[in-house]
Amino acid sequence: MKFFFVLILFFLFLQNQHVNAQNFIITGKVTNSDDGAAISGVSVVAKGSGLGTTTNSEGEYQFEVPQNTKSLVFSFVGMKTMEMPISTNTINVSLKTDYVGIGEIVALGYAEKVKNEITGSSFQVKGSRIANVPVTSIDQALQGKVPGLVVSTPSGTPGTMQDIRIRGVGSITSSNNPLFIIDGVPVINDNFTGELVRSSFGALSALNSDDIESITILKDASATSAYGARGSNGVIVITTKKGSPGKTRFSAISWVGFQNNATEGYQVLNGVQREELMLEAVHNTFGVPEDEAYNFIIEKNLTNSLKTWVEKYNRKEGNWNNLLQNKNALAQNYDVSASGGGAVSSYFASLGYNNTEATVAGGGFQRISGKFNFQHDFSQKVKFSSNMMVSNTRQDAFLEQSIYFGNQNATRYMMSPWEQPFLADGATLNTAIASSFFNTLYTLENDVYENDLTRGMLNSYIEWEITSNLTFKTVYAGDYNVAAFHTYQNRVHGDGKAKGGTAIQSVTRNYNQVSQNSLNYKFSAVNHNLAFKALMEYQVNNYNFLQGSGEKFPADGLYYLSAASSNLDANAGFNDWKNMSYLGMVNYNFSGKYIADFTYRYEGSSLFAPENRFGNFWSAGVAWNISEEGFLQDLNFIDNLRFRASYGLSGSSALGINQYQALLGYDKSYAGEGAVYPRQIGNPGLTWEKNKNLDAGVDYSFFDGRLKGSFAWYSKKTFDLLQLVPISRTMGHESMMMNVGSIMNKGFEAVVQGDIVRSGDFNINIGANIATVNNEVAALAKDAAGNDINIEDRLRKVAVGHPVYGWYMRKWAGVNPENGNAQWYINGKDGEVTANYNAAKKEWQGESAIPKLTAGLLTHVDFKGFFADINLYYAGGHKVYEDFSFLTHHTGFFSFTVFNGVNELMKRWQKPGDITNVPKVWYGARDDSRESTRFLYRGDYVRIKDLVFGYRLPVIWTGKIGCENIALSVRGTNLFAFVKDNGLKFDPEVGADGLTRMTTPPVKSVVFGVNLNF
Amino acid sequence: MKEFCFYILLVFVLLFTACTDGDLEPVLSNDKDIDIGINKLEDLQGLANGMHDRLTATAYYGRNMQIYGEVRSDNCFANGKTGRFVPEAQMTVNPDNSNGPWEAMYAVIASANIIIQQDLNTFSGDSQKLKQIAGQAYVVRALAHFDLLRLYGQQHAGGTLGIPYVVRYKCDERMPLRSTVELNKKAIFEDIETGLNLMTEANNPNTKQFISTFTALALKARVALYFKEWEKAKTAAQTIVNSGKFEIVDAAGFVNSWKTKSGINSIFELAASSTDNLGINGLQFIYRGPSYGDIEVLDDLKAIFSETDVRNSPAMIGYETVTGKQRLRNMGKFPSADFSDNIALMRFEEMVLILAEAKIELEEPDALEVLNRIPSKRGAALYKEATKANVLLERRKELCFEGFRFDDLARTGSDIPLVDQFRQTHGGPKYASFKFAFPIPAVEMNANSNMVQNEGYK
Repeated sequence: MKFFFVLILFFLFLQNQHVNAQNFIITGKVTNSDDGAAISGVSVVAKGSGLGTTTNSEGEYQFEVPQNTKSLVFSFVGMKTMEMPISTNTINVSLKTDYVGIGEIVALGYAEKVKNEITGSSFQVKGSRIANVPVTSIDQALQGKVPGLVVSTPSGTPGTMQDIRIRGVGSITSSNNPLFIIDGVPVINDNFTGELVRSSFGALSALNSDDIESITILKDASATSAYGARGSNGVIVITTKKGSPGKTRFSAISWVGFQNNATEGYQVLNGVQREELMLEAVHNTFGVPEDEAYNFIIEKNLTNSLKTWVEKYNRKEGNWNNLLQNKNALAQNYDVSASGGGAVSSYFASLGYNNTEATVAGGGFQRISGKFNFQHDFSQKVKFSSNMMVSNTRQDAFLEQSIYFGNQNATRYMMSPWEQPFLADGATLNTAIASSFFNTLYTLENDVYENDLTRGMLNSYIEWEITSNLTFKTVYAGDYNVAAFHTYQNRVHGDGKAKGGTAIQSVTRNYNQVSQNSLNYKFSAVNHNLAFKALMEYQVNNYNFLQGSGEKFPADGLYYLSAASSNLDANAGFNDWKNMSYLGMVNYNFSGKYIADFTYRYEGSSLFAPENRFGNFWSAGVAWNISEEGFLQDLNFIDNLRFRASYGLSGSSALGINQYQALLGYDKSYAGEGAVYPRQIGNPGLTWEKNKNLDAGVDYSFFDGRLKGSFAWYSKKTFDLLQLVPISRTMGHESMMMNVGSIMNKGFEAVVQGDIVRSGDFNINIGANIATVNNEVAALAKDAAGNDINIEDRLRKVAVGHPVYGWYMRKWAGVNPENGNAQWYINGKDGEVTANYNAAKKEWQGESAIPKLTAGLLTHVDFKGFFADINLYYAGGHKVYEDFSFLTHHTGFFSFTVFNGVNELMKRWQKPGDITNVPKVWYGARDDSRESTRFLYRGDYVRIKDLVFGYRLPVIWTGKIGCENIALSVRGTNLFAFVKDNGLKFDPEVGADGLTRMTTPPVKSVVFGVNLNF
Repeated sequence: MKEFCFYILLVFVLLFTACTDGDLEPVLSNDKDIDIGINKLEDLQGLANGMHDRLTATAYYGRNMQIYGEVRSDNCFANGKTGRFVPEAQMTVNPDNSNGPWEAMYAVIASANIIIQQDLNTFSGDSQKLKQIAGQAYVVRALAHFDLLRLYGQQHAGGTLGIPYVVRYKCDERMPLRSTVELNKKAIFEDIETGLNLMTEANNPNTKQFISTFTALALKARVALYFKEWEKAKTAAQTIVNSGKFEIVDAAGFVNSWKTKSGINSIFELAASSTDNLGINGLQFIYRGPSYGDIEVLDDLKAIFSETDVRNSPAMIGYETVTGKQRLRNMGKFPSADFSDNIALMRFEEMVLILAEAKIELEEPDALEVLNRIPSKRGAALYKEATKANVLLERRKELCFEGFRFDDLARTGSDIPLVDQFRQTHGGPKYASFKFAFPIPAVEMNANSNMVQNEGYK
């Protein structure tokens, strides 16, 4: 490959010894046709030569063009591109606003394309749409803005990773996460938290949303196959801001506001309610009269905590649920940026700061980020660009991934209200809690739990225009993540107590580098336009890990490992993965009417066995711009109408390191000596997961862009799934990674956007998008007898003909009004009921966690300087299961003896004839709250994602203080949610697995923002 | 000429970034490829260490196996404090949560089989030492299959099905059938014999933390007792008793013996230390303390001891006040707060009791003397008669909290006694109820269509 490129260079070197012809100079001014104002930064290109310049701050340009140039092309973002024949030496142009957007440039990662030349399904979101949204990770801001993109929130702790699904779910046990591209190169989006039991910590949270120019979501084969191998879950292309020539422009963005849990959640039992339930349970179970139950409990030594609460604490309420929330958590963000440049160089620089408190007690998130982009033309033909981003992000990582005794969200729900958080003096935290759960107010205050990520990214390229038709580009990108993690669990109370205090410190270093070399060749003859691209890409990821841990600290106030005195231990490791690919692309365009493209990619990954490393991927797309046809020219209301279709094969290598090898592990010990064990059964046949993707669509724009949008239909078949197939445990392993099974995702997506009112100072714009997903398992791994190997857990099942992880459990049949017993349907569907949980069968209960229908509604109104936005998001056709309900809804002792329950339990059955959904309480073990449809809710909801009111100060005012633009706004995010199923008390936004969690809930915020440009 | 320099520059850039197809080979930093990683004595010893280490899994002898024997009986109950062992104590384990021990035991078997199927002739190192390790592997394979059978076999649940007996790692038979209890028994005895033939007493390890020839004999005695093969049980137990290598710990040393490693009464124990232990997932944390402490002792157990019995002293069975309540606890077995106690799996006292029981069954005259060897060293009154009831009572006293009680009830055809209606949650199932066997795990049923579920769980 190396030799090949050198040869080409040599060839070009010989061929390129041409002499410049005589040139001449053209000058002029570019203005806006709406108001006659000068436009700076307009690109002016001499057609056919590739030479160009941009207008200055007065809208003027001066340009030396080659003698044979026939015309100049003027283009600017948001304006219609104009081509002017060269007749005189002065050419003044008045550009029209492009409401239709067919000339819009869409960033597709390796290439930018004009929208009208695209055959695939993609959707671009402008950076300005997400810049002011108070989120710590930019993916959170995409919800409801892109059809077919579902963002779900496993935790509201700032800095955590989101679950992103594009067009459904294609994989069962491998990742369904899309591929991220930043400025043309693939980047990692790993979880950099130091301990998986704690809050996740996404690399994406290291990016400052104000540095983003645009985000493009690629969905079909034609759009994603450029990423061949790894685009099958969709691709998210992030383009960051670059400098533009002209006078230096400054911008300052700041917002400050407060956040709260978006949904109230359950109320828990207070102390009095808990006492009432316990006495009633004792009465129900042992037949003791209720007024004697209290003494019975003490006599029989059932529990002492009730007595303590009554006699020692005088029935004082613990009130844990409130104390552990951080109400009105402060969130603030400040960004300043500058951009400018001259004829041959331009730059963009920014500095940003974000500080977001968590809505639960004891933590927050901070980010300081800087970005610098520099572009310079070494010569007229050789362009250089370099982009640097560095940020430091800090997150308090809560012990929240399950109901750990130190999980403060779990403590809110599970701590007995009889336990007192403070000692009698009211100020000192009580460490003598008679509960398995800890006084997390104490541990949060005295422990350390910190994730710290420093991310540095460099992306530089040289682009050389060898001839007017041929360019060569070489890119080098490095992405260095250094994640430091530190926990200290104190000696006095909590997990660290038994060990005299524990600490873990770790450092993860991950360097990901990409190099790309490509050749682009363009060829035009009469109406035929051809473009070729040949690209080679090599990516290496090196991961280094070093962790130390220790116990037994000699004194309080020492947090670091040096002070630990026992059980000192160290872990370390290194792994790497590599990816190499060769890409060829052809685009054909016949006079702007007929478009065809073809992409081929040959890609290899170190994640597969040597003989199976490389895969072939391809796609083909066609488009017909029917509005360019003569027979439609008379229909003036049609601005643009086009049909497009694509089909192709893409892939996924989303699996762990070295999975194909049968491995012996060496990281254990026995009796002080190294212990070796079979870690992994391996599969030397492992290769790419593949995806066949058919997509067809229509793009339209009518009435000068007053009504525009698109419609797309897709059918996606993922096969040879990289799946961790359960094997007979008698093999000594639980599962084996195989390429088996297939999953279908089908659906349609529609976008409509209308300018209801369009005038100089009054505009109303409404946009809507809708997307459906029909997900079904088409095939699974088979065992030797030819039977499907279904995957089943306590709530869900994977089987052919059903959605991936469809809900599969016992069906709740309500409470028997006669005796208050819980009942379930024996056959799992209908008919006969039983009070014996184990006698009821598990059955499909309809739907899965994947929303079948999602929609967004975006409305913008502006009048004079005032503006308002309202964005709604809807998700529906899925179900959500309330996890840990076994404990919090337990009608036995978990809710009122061991832990605590939700106050829903007060609706329990008490006497014959009571109609209720909560069985009678019982002093003992109960099956009532075990997994069943009792806690499976319809997931449909509508949420007001954004509500914005703002005012842009008139230019005559701002001009006096030298500002171009001053805008003030107040923004509410996630302010209201309407949930269809009133049984669902937790936030309807849950992780992609459809389970509610004891994590920080999603947040709502109100922020006040100021945007300043000068 | 400037452009020429650009060409040079670009060639440099290309040299820097270009690469070849061979650059796709990944690094293995902490693991080794199984096909090239085993060829020396030290490799085999590493695998043997790994096999022993797997016995210490929480789901196996690290904790659960012992607790299953206690909560499904009249010795202990699960207080539900953290929810651990609640289904087991109710004897309503369902297929969704019966996979832990199944997976842990077959993992042990996989480790044993990797050792067994090595061609030792190709290995470098002392051939007798190599054979000793292979012998250990056979014994461990027998032990794990026996334990699988005890939990999942139908012998006391009204059926004849046993468990799949796996004799090869990565064998072609990927979905084995359930064998019968009879065939399982035969295979277990065969593996023990093979192990005994490969091992020599001279090559036994210095500590009790590894399988020795005596471990093999002790296992043989235990299995024979379980299957009522009294002659076999007697012979194996007698061999150990006659060896003179072990002694019954006396009353004065009994409490301390639980903190002693490789003590005089120990035949086989699993290694733990203050730096390498199961921590909160081990036996200490489940028997005591405020965080877990789910397993409490039933008053009925304490009541069978006399006042003078050392096994009834507060250091062994006592009260612990946690979360505002006095709880009757196992205080003496697996006692150390730093989790550093070795896990006793085979004690000499058990062998004496097996010998006594076999002699009772075989109506040998010295049965009473053998039986009384235990109470005489515990500060307890001696038995006047050598009856089955007395030997079972002594077993309950001596071996409580070590996981023997359920099987002692089951193998003698007893119902599970309901002695405390407030605390026992199983309701006292009758002998041969389906509840006497765990269900085959759902994950196994789903992945292996040859597998047959136990009655009562279909």
